[in-house]
This record gives sequence, C-alpha cells and structure tokens, in this order.
Amino acid sequence: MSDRSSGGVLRRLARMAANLVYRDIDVHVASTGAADRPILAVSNHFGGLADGVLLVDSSPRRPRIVARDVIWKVSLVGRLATAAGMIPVHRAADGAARATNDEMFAAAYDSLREGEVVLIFPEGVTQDVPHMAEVKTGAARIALGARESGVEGICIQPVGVHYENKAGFRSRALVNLGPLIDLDEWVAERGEPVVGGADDRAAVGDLTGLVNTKLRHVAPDYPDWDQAHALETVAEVLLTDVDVAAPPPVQYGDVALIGSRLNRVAEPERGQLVTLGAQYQEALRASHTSDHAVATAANPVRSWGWVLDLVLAVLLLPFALVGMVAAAVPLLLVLIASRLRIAPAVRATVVPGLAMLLFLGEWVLFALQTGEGGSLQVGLAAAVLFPFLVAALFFVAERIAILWQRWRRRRQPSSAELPALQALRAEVAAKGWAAL
Amino acid sequence: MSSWINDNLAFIFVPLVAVWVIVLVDIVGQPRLSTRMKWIWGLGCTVLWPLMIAYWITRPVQGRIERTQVRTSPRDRLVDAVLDHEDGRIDDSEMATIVNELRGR
Repeated sequence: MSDRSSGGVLRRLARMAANLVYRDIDVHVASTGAADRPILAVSNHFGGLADGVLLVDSSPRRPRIVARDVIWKVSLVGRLATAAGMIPVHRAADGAARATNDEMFAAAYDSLREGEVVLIFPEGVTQDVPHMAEVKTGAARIALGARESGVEGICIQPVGVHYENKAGFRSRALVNLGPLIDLDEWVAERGEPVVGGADDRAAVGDLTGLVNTKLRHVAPDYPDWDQAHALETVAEVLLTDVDVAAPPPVQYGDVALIGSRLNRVAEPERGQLVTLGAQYQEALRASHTSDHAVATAANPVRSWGWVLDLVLAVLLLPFALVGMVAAAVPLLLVLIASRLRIAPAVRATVVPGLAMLLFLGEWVLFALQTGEGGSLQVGLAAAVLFPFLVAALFFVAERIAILWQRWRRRRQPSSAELPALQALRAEVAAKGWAAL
Repeated sequence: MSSWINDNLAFIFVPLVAVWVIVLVDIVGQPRLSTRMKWIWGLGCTVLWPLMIAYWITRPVQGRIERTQVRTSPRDRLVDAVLDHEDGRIDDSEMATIVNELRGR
C-alpha cells in the first residue's frame, strides 16, 4: 500500500469513526499558512484513541502519530498501526527493552524532511482530569534534532482537544489549532545558538517550556471539573446574550473556547466567575430550566426551525426504524461500553474502537444476511443502504432529542423563581463581560 | 465546492442514485402492482430521493477545517474578538466596540 493511499484510507476511516462517534465536531484554526511546511503537531491527550481519531480527521494532511510501543504488542493492532504510518516510541515505564529511541527520532526526522505532519502527545500519558500533565521533552527534542539534521522550515502546531463527554457516544468535541511556532524564528529570537540539536539541554528545556505554555493555552486547563462546568456556564450566558434568537443548544466549540478564556482571567476575578457560574448552574438545575429560557423569559423568541426538523424526522422515520433493527446489536454494545465503570480515558479508547469494529462488522453481516437468498441485487442494495439507515437513525433520534430539549428549555421558570434567576443571570453576565 | 463533491460523491451521491435505480427497477418489475400504483411508487421515490440529496447539498456541513472559515454569526464574532483581544490583535476600545455592537448597545 503506498504511503499516499494508506494516508487516504486512514483519513477516510478516521472521518467515518469521527462521524459515527461524535454528533458535532468543531475545529477552530488560529492561523494558517503552513500548508506545505513540515509540521510537528503537539496535542493534549485526554481521550486515548478518540484523540487520534479526531486529530487525523481534523488535520489538513495525514499525520504520522508517535505512539507508545505497547500498541505493537497486539499483532493485528500493531500491523494496523504500522499501515497507518504510526511511529513507536519505547518507554522504560512500559517495560521497554530498548535503551534508546533512535529509530523513533530517525523516522520522525525523515517524515519532517518529507514535509509531513508528525503528531506527538508530549504528556506521554492520557489524563482523566481537565488539565494537562507535565509536558515532557520529546517534542522539543524531535523538533531541534530534525532541524540539526537539515530539515528546514519546521513549524510546531499546538492542538487542544476538548470534549463535552470524552467517553460518551454521539457527544460533541472541539479541536483547537493554536498559532504556529516557527522553529527558525524561535531560534533566532532566543539569541543563543542551538548546539547539537536534541542534545542541547538548555535549548530543549526552553523549547519545552514554550510548547508547554502554548499547548496549555489551546487545551483545557481547569483545576477540576466543577470549575470547568462553572466557567462553561458563564460562557454560555455570554454567548446567549449576543444571539438570543438562536435556538439552543449553544455550539460546544464556542462554549469551550470562551470557557477556556475565562479560565485564564486573573484572580480574584476568576474565582468570582467560578462562584457565580456554579451558583447559576445550581439555580438552573433546581428550577428545571435553562439559561436560554431565563434569557428569553421577558421576550420569548419564536422560531420555526423546529418545523423543518420535525418534517425531516417524520420523513426519515421509516428508514430510522429499519436502521434501528439493522444496527441494534452494535448500537446496544457501544452504548453499554460508553457506560462501563472504567477510567474515562480508557472508555474514550474503547468506544470509538468498538464502534468502528462493530458497525463495520454489522454492515457486512447485514448485506450478507439480506442477500442470503442468492439475490446479488438485494445484498448490494442492503450494503449500500446500511450507512444511510444508520445515519437516518442517528438523525431522527438526535432531532427528537433536540426537539424535546428545546421544548423543555423553553419551559419558563415559575414566576416566583424567575426574578431571582434573572438577577443572578444579570450578575453572571456583568462579571463575565467585565472579565473579557 | 469541488473538494466537497470529491469527498462526498462516493459515499452519498453514487449510493443514493444506485439505490434509486434499483428501487425503480424493482417497482417496475413487481407483478402484483397495478400500473397506477407503480406510477405513484415511482413518483414517490423520484421525489423523495432528490429531496434528500438537496438536503445534503444545502445543509451547512463542510470539511472540518473549511467550516471554520465561514464564521459570520454573532457568536463566532464574539469568540474571534475575545481570542484576538487576548492575543493583542485588537485593543480594549476595539473589543468594547465589538462587544457593544454584538449586545445591541
């Protein structure tokens, strides 16, 4: 399989898996202009396999992912990883027999020399908390080593991956591509020459510090989940304020970006925002209402977008019902997997992997079973229809869920609760706008 | 637009047209259906499929990166302004102007 074709297949599979597992993926790009330059992408690692799927899907070019060599210990998975162009890294913590990672560095240098994208998770481990672990030196050593070996024009691309629910099925995510770090410019601005590339400890330390700062700027970096949810509530208030007429829910990517910005506000304002956000969140929960309902209580907004959703849902309902029968087994198993009592980061690996395997398997089985009578036509039609039926199932289920949520969110709080909610909301908004 | 067509041609248009043809052939070949019912079924399929294709074409779904280049809603403008302000690309007064405009003040 040629490199180009394996890249194409990999990206198509990633696109399929991403569309299957997530109902909405936002990509935010801070800067463009490195279309043909070698890029070392560095990303936070909250979601295991889910991170890889989202990053391959969102990347403008097929990235070569630097991954722990434990993946290659499972024969079939290792073969797939090799076919996907992944680069193994050996770590003593994983019981690696090898003393060095010379092959990994050489493969990464070669890829960058070819103008490819190399993706590394510089924390080295997945996280279940909403902030990053210590950034290790691997990314800086690859970048400086490649430059030393003659690769020109290297850019480092910090990428933050945000999840609404990283282990959930049909959840939402944001891929946040931050400003590029031009390695040559950084070396020139640093003032001191880099001697020995990856062996220049001072330069590696400085560059790791820069990668750490830039990566934390684009990735979630909250002290804990409660504070993350409180600041995202404040973000939702501000986003609703600027477009009250837009139907809920607010786009997850926008909430994550504004929430992260509020998280970077200096103390004591940040602490006040967290307190107010948490209070408002709790008040909404206690009143069984939503921010949109409180914001529009004085001037209810009438929109007819739901009629189109309803018509489409009714039109597609027969196909969705057939889809539910056709994909019942994989759907049930994936939903069970998404609720397993295991570490969320492990679930974030299990859910997309299992979803791809089961749905692809069921696709083949559905076609074979339907055409079992010897009818090639029927089998072919079943094979062609399966993705459409599954898409119709997701579409109808999610439209109904959104319509239900809209109806619930439009339910106004009681007249006794409303003044207090509006006053609290006004306080949250005032503090939020002042912080920006 | 052309990349969008290339990305989606194999997965959306070709299967839909293929299924449409198969269904039409099947309808015409049904011995138990009257000619009138064949016309009704045929018309139903011929209208429903193009409607769905038109929906896929017109719905606001693009490639992951391309989608970010169409940022015109007030919320998009707020996000861009907030990040630009933090990175120093716009100053306090420009930020205040944008926020006031977005909030209708």
